[in-house]
Amino acid sequence: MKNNILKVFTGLAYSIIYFPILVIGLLSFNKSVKGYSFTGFTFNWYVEIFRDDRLLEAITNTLLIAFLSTIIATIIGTFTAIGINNLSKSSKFKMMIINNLPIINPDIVTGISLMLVLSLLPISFGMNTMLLAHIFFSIPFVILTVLPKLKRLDKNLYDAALDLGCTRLQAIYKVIIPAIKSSIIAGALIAFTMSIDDFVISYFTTGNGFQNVSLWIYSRLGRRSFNPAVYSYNTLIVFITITGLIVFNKVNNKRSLKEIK
Amino acid sequence: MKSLNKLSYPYIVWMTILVVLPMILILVLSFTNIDIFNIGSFNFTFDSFEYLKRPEVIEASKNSIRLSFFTTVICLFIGYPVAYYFANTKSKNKQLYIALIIVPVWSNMLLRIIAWEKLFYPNSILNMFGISFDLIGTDTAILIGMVSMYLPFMILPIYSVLDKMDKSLIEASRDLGANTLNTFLRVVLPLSLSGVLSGVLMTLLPSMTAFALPERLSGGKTLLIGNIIEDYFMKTGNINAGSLISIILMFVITFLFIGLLRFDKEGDTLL
Amino acid sequence: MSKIVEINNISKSFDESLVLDNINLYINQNEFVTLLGPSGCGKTTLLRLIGGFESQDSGQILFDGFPLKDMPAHKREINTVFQNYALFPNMNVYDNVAFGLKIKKMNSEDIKIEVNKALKLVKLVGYEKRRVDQLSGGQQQRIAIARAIVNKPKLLLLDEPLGALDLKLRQDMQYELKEMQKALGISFLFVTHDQEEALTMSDTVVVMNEGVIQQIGSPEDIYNEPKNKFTARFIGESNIVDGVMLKDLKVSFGGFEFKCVDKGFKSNELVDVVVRPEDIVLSKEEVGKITGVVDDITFKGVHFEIIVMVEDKEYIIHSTQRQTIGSIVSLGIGPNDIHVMRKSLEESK
Ligand SMILES: Nc1ncnc2c1ncn2[C@@H]1O[C@H](COP(=O)(O)OP(=O)(O)OP(=O)(O)O)[C@@H](O)[C@H]1O
Ligand SMILES: [Mg+2]
Repeated sequence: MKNNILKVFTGLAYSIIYFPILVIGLLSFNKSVKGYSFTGFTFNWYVEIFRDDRLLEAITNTLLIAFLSTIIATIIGTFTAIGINNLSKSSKFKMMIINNLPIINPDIVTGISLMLVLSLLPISFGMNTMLLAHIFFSIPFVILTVLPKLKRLDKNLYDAALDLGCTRLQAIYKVIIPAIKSSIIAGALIAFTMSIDDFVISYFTTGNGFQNVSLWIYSRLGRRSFNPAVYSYNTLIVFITITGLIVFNKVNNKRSLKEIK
Repeated sequence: MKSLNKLSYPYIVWMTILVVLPMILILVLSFTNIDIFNIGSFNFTFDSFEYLKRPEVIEASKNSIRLSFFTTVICLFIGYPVAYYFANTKSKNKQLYIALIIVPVWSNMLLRIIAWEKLFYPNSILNMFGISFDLIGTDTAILIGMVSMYLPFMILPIYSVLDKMDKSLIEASRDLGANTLNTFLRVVLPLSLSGVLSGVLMTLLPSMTAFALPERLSGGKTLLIGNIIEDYFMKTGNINAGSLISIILMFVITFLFIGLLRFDKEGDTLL
Repeated sequence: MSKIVEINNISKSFDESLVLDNINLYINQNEFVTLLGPSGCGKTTLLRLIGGFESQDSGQILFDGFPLKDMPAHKREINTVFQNYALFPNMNVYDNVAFGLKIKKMNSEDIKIEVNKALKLVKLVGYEKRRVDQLSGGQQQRIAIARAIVNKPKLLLLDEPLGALDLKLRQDMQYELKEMQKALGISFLFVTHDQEEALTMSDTVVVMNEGVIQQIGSPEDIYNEPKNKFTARFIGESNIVDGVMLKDLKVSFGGFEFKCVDKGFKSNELVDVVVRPEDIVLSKEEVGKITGVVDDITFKGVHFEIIVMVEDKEYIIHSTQRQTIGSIVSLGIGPNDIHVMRKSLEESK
């Protein structure tokens, strides 16, 4: 009985979260450009992704920035987390407050802060500044994911590696990093997620017409140049992730079943 | 071991430049009439404070507080049971269920906002099912949109503390004669408080400062404090007043955050 | 015998608090040395200094005659078995044990042979493919030992390596370790806070308290001739009574005069007198002996532990003979069973 109430709530949560995504899916097969009514079924918008140069460019930019910022932020974040883990308790606490500031700060304030600082530097706004911004807001999430795992490791692990003949660098990449691999991957996934979906911070840190998908959408809202192909792009992304997840889950379940046997 | 702490030093420099420096900058901008793009002579002034009395700012603050409050309450009301369900389900697909809560974040937020927007006009694709809404410009529209965007951020932190919680505590409480409700109120709820607080923070803050969402779902009628800041910085060039509002916002948020830290000594339940 | 490690005047503090205070100690080749002391007395810290994971504030450590100061941990011919084993969680048993050899780029055939030898030594052949977190505490400890000795260090540091074992396994492992040390012909520096373990295994016992070495000596010396109250208390149970040294070979305590074997004290010097519980012989009430009332009796497996109240002072006696509570008994103490110690400095002040 109680369980059923919980299930109803869970169903409600899924519905409200997924409803707009289904609508986007519907719009991606809709002949109508404006999307105020369903005028017929078409695959045309999926082909259109590759015909609209500006959109295709925005998609490439989004993915490029997401991959680059994820890789860089994951590396920096992991090493920094190892450092933070070895600070004294009070410095660790202070570090975590600074680390959490960008996370709790509203995106709009973070965006404006970065815009102000970057405008003091002799670089022009564009891909570089946006990449830097994405690296910046991703690192705290990587640190936040990796640190708890580090805390749970045996305190002597690094020393044990040195004891057995590793140099400092070897001790880190042969022992520490493999031991926290799963949380590094989790951190990278969060970083990627933050980057691929970001609008606000990108909005304040881009320039020279450099656009990711969010900026492409925002600049075309309600305009004729708004191409429904972007619905198709979005539907593809969601479809690929969900399929990937389900497959991964199947494989995982099978493996754990084998382990039990 | 001791030398490893040096790995955190570059980050201190990085964060000083990208977090502390801009904070100082924003603070200076708030209390002067500096023109950021043409730094010449300037004075200290409290002129920016005049903007705080403007009706649009007061109205936007009220809207922000009201809408973010209701969003958070609704998200908590729906999110806690969901997190509780995930933490206690024995299903082998548990990980998948949780991942499915996160996936929508991979879908573009602006597009999801547009999807809601299209549904809330009287003429929408829902007409073909014989349904029609006329919600654009109402709080309901904004609240539905916000709950849809931010609910995952309420569920995840609560789930993560509930999941880590030692299940034998619940058994112990039962064993000591507490009924289900008492066990929940006296054992589970207090222990999950840090998760609830980070969940509250993770939904309250973005909903308070959203700017694209209210702009679209209110048809431009309901402004939030985020819209004001964006407007001052990017459109009307009122950077000093925009800075002042940002600083006040940061103060409020830091205040809330420190409140959370009192319950979270480790400083890492944010995720 | 030549010294493998020589520790001279080492001091170390953490955040202003002195953890090691002027430590002097040497370890001979092939010697089994035990560091014995209560929790928090600085045993691990001393080990970490020798291993090279921490650096001293002052003093120096010589290894094979050369100062260790500037030699990084990974170049020292010393290996460590850490307090909580510090096994690599992402590797299986084989990879853990083989780790040091792989780092040294030994070829894989030789590695196989060496790892197998080491696993044989700790009796874990057949466990190669197991994940380390699937092993019991005792097995993990043995893997940690194998992982260290496979590198053939000149000195092996062991930080409470038997702490997690039950009594039986612990005694087996004590024996095994001792055999291993003889077979390998290397020096062991073994940390424990269990006095029995220290006494059974070591050639030399180093008793520490609050960062200061209290006494260094053979197990017999430490047990029979504790230098001060701390050592006497810490090593086995003992009765420590205030006494007065009347002259050489004559001490008074508990209201009677006793013959003893100690000399070299000032006449009428105030001293501590130590009598081990198993050295006191109980008899029916006799004139001319310390006499008291049996207050409590507990069966301890092999012997009875009997508490006798003499005026307001408790004596602990180990005896195989039962006594009845409330009966009056006399305590017989022979000259060889009395050990006289100087009062420690702060007490005489
Ligand atoms: N890295 C450190 N920073 C600060 N204080 C430390 C550090 N390491 C040890 N200490 C302190 O030094 C003292 C000695 O610690 P140590 O670990 O050497 O004790 P131990 O004798 O090994 O104890 P145990 O038997 O409990 O392992 C303790 O008071 C401890 O709190
Ligand atoms: Mg220790």
